[in-house]
Amino acid sequence: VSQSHSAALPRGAPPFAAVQQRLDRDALRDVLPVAVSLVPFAAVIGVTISQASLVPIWVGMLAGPLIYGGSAQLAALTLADTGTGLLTVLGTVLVINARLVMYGAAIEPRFRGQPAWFRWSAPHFLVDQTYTLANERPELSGPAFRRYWGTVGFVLGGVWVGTMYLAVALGPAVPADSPLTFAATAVFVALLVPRLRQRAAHRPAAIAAVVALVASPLPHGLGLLVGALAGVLPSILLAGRDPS
Amino acid sequence: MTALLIVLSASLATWLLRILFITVLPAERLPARVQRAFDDVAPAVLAAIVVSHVVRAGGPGEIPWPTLGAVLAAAAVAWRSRNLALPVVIGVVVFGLLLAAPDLAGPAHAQAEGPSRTEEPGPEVPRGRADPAAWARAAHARIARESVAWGAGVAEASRFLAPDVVVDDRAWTGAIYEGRAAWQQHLVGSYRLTLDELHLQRLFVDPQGALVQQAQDHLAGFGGPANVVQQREYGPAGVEHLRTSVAIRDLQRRPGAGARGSVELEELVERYVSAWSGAADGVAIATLYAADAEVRDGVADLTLSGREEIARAAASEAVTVAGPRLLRHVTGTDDPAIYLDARTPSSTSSLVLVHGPAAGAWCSGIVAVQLDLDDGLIVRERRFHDLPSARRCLDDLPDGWWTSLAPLEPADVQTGTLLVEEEEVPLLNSVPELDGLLAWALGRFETAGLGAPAIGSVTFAGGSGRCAGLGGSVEAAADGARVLLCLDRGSACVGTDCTAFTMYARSTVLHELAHAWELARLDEPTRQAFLALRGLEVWEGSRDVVWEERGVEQAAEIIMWGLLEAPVPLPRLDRPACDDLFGAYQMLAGRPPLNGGCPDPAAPPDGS
Repeated sequence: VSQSHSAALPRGAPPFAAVQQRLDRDALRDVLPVAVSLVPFAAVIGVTISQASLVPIWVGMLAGPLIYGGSAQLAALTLADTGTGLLTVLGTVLVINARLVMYGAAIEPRFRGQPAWFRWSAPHFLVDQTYTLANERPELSGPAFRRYWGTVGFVLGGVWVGTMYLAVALGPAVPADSPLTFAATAVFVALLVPRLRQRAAHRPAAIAAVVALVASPLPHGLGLLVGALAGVLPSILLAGRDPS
Repeated sequence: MTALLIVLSASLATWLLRILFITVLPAERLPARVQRAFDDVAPAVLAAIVVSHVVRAGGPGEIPWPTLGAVLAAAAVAWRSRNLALPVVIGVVVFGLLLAAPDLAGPAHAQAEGPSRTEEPGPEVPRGRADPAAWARAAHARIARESVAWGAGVAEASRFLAPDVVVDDRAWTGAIYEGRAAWQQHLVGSYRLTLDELHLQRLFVDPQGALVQQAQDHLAGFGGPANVVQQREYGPAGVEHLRTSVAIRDLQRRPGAGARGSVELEELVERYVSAWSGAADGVAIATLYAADAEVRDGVADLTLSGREEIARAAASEAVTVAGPRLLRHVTGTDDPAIYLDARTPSSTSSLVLVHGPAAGAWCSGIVAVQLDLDDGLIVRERRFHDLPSARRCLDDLPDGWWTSLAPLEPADVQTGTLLVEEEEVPLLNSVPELDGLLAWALGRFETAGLGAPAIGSVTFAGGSGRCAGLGGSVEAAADGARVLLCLDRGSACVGTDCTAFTMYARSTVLHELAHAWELARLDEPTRQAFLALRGLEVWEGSRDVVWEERGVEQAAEIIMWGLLEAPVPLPRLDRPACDDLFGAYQMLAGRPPLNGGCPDPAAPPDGS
């Protein structure tokens, strides 16, 4: 995917600005196709915000950057707009976002040794897309990771929130059923398939796919969480017996 | 406030999930075997996400072929290329192509076997297929067009009303109007909303009608903003019954209003809500209804007749439970969503209530109910469903008003008549100044010895949607031409006192009346001679013939030229020479122009 950026660089050379520029450019190149793929979903949420009646528009708009997660935001918005109680909405959001716990655990080594402000605030950008993008750049650590993560998080969030606000302004003029709706799925296909070249990825991917399919009737996208957990579980259970 | 609390709590909860194993309990402290499994997280999660996306793209028991095909295409590209953008682009293109193939796009909107219901609550997710509920779009589009028309005034709003419409305006103006004309006569000139003053809140539908919940900044007689529900009953010709109900608190706030009867009414509503909420209480429900009461839910295709059946159905949870609480109808107020059809409640009132959703009910969404009372008991209950909820619950809703409406017909207000050659010609949407303009123009025809144009009606439609880009139009009809003049007082008058008519108005009205004159008075040989004289090929022609190349337009323009007080150059005909115009006018009219024609005496017309 890329050559190492930080490990081989002696301190002070090349100049810091050049390193920063290069890193930001890499992050931009990685994140832009992903950000564009979010446009249709963001537009759907924007239209939903503009049509809500119980949830004031500014509250719906505030939820974009604060929750930083489309499915949970949409669920919170539509449930709140139909008068659902706080605890029910909260439970739904927790279920939908439970996989973020797993992402957090898996990405924690990258946050190890980072400044406290970063460890407390930067996980806010943790979503499916940022997690998998960072995973594609295992060589980044320290300040280089901070810049990469920050760039990816801000650009993704900028496009996401910008599109959403545009759709709030334009309302139903944004078509919700264009072929672009497939872009979000395609991004995950494009991230998954190259990993399958490694044999070690076959078992978790296959188990997760089958279980997610079987569990798909579960509400609130729970099938996704159950499938992902099932894919990871064998490694934990068999870890002692199969060190490879 | 509740919504803000929900959003803030959801944000906090999500953040806690994110930092749990990063900052609070760093994953390095987890058992080694758990840490080793982290390598499996990415492939497992990605595979699960892709599968869940594919499953979600199809309905229950439906294989989403376009999504599946596009996933395979994107996967094939991703296997060969490490570029992230390429598989996304290819995937989207393939998805678009497969979606366009009608056999693969899914049967969702091809079936018309009656309502199909999905019970699953929760957020609406975008699905990869087009137009899941065309009926909802049609209903929404019609209501939206009507709302725009209401903002444009009585004449425009009239176009959506059937001629024999009954307008029940007791809650607002205190009257019931039988027929469109009666309503127009009462309100013309006094009713107009700008869209800034009209805040649409929710649309509720059933197959016969719609309830439009809206707030208005200014409601005449209420001294300020008011919240209303407009109930529209549709027939093939448009709205056949229109009733405006006003929020009960706004009625109480009205200057000089008393609270008489509203306590009993609110008590009834409270009993109704508590009886229907949660596990519906059959005994309590029975006390609300008259023995022969009827409950109708057209969206759910359900009718209950008689108190016993209603109570039984409530106990069996077979009906849409109305919901545990009343919604607040205006953000930021605590007013209950109770709307009343008259200024003061009575034992025979009719109310509209808007309810929150009921967990577990069929089509859990926001419901508006219309209750007709008699002697304090409900005799008729009709349930309307919030359009987004109904759309979510039903793919197809056949036989609604939205499918049977005839195309709109213009409906205008007759403001007077004009005597033209002993015939009374109706004038529509006019004001005295425009009457004067018309009289002046007809006088010019008379004085010029042309005789009166044959007119069936004259409609002024300045500023309406019918006049986009037009000065006017003339349609031939058996009883005289239908003349449309895109003028209003503002564009016709010079000065606020209307001391004179603008050049634009004078030339427009003469041009259009010249069409009406020509329709009745020009014979075919004259037309042909005129075409030859002007070097033209067609008299009327189609839309393909440019305006200035049509004989009929040149004729109208030249008649106008000869009837104005002083001749003017005709830029729309590329300023023909005065002599040419003089000759052409004389050919059409059989006499010289009223205004003498060419201002330059050095160039006298020939043959005079």
